[in-house]
Amino acid sequence: MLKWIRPSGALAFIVVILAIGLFWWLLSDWLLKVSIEAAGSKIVGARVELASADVTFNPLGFQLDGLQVTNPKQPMQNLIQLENAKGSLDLLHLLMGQVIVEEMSATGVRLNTERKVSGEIKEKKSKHKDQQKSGDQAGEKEPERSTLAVVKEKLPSLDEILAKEPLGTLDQIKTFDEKSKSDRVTFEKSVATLPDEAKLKQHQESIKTLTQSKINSPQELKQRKQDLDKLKVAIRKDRDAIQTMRDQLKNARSDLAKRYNDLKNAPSEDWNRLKSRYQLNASGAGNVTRMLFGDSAQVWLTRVLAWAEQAQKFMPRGGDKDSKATAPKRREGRQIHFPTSNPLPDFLIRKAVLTMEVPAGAFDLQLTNVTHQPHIFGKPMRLFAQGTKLRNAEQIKIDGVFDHVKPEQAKDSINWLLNGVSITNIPVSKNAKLPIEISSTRANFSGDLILKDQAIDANAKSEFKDTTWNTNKGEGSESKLAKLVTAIHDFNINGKLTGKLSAPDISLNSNIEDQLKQALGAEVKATQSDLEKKFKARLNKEIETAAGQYKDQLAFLTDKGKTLDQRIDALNKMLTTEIKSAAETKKQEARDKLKDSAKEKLKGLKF
Amino acid sequence: MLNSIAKLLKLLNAETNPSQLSMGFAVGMIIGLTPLWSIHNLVLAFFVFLFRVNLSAFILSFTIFSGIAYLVDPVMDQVGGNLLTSPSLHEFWTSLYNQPFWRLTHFNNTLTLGSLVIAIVLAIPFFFISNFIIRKYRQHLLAWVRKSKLVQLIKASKIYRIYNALAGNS
Repeated sequence: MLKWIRPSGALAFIVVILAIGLFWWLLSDWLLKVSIEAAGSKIVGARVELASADVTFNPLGFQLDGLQVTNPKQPMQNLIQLENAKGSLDLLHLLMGQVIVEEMSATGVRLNTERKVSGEIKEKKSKHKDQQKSGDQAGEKEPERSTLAVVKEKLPSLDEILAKEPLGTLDQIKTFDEKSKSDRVTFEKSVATLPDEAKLKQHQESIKTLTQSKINSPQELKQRKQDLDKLKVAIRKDRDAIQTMRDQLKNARSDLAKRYNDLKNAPSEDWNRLKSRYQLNASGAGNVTRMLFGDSAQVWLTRVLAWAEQAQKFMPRGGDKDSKATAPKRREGRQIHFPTSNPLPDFLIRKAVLTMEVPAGAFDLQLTNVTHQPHIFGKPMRLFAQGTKLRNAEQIKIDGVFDHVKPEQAKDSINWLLNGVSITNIPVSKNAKLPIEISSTRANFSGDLILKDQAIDANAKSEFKDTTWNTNKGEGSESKLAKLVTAIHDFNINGKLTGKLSAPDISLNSNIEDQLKQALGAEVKATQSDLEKKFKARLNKEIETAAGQYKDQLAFLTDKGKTLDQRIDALNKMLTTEIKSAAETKKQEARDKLKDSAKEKLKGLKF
Repeated sequence: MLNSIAKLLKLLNAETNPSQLSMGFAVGMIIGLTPLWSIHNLVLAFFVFLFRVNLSAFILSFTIFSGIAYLVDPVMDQVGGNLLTSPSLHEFWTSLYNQPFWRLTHFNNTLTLGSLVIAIVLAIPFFFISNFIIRKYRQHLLAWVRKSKLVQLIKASKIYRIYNALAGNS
């Protein structure tokens, strides 16, 4: 049996093992660095860089310096960056293939920092370009999205209105003029057909002849009476015709007066119709919030979605219970887990304390139960942060639970509260026509976010007090709007995010709109009033030409009416004429004489 | 330099008994087929060094079967997966899983278990078959190979002369 044993072999084995051990010990730092960079880049989909890594063996642990995790959607920005992280590892579990970090601390943690070089992974460049082409609208560079197109309806000039809008006044002026002219022609023709002065004279002569010439016999008297009756019939006919024409002239006069009155009211009617179209209404002022803060909201939305997307990669969703369902990796296999009293996943950070560096100051963020296999561990990941007396804020409190213990019922929720945050020099609108920046303000932020079944439901409230603004001169109505906005010092903005995580809807509202409505309303009212005066004055000037026509027409109708009245009176007088006998004539003459003498005598008496 | 290589060759070809060669092939096959960084491979490596197993055969077999392993990975993974998820073995695996020692062997990895089971099952017949082939080769083909032009060329090389001297065959 002993002849089968090679003692030098045992020695050689020990030497080989020691050599491998030495190799690992010497290269462990480099191997850890390379492993984290490779695995991290694969998971995130963008470059993960580490300045240096250090493995400690007693106790077993690690120290990482200068970690940068690129945002895959924005390769020139980091999702997260930290200066230093250290933690301790459980050796036994590490040998079992499980990375269990009991406690980890990280300092200098910053979010969304700028990179010096792009962190895009080369083979993903074409895919990234395709995503951009297909309209990845979560990007920051979307200045055109919230332009002033929403406040397009500025008040036009008077000439623009008169050129563009159909006006009833001008149509009525034309109609009035035409009708007046046609009526005049018609009436003149009609009056010309009536019995004129010559005819009347003729009738009078006939009556004189019949009534004043001597009657020699009763038969002649009878004949004369008959002739007079015939004449009266003719006179009556002529009188009726003139009366009819006179009535028509009367109606024409009242119609003319009415039409002229309508014409005078036409400018007001036109103005009332146009007023509603050119008034700056609530919807216009309501879009100001989106116009001013839409860009910034889009930036924050991009960041939130990027984080949510990365978190989704790390956390299992429904139907992804364990590695049994996933395709096995070459030369790696799958871990099958069995029931145990203390189940542990393949990777777990029990407690991590991150010292976050934000513009408001530094605060500690505590994470517990960080693992990509919460369904094995049985506990959800929790996030908690609290800070008071920060450099530029009074209080910060963040509380979150990422419950993926049952992947099919996965639910992530975060609540946040930031009070008394001092903010300076924050660009609000980068629109070229209306660049506005908050110079300084004190703000309170609060909100909640729930992510469930690939849908997001988030509410964010913010209050801004003692706000001062910076704005360069805009153009035209934008300049006016900028002036109005910068007069507002206290306002709030509320945002709501709902819908699918891949394409959520964002809505913003703010009491800036109410304040702007009031300010704009007064300004618009004054401008409208001025425009109204000019509008009516211009149209009234047009109506003056019709006024002349009216006066002429009225005078014409009046004159003709008077003339016809005179003729009617004359004809009526003619109709009262009677033929009398000689005796009756003498009787009448005697009576007339008696009357005259009685009058003379009574004149001399005094009572 | 040539001396060092020759010494290495001597070391590698020290154990030339057919059983020693076959053992080298068999153990090389097991380590080649299974994931390298496993405890059982550490034990087998110690076995190869401690016992008089032909190292050349071991290295050659390990290299060849590492390549073959990459091709048959899915099959071995499937076998391991079936074994680990078998209801009749569930209690057995659960008891092993709750013991730290067995967890260190990574038995609950589908590839580790599947490849080890297949390798062990194949190793025994492989040992006897390779043993048989070696004996027959030596009996019938060795003389012919030694006379071949390739072998003559190798024998004429300087490194062979040094190796031969070291081996005491000059």
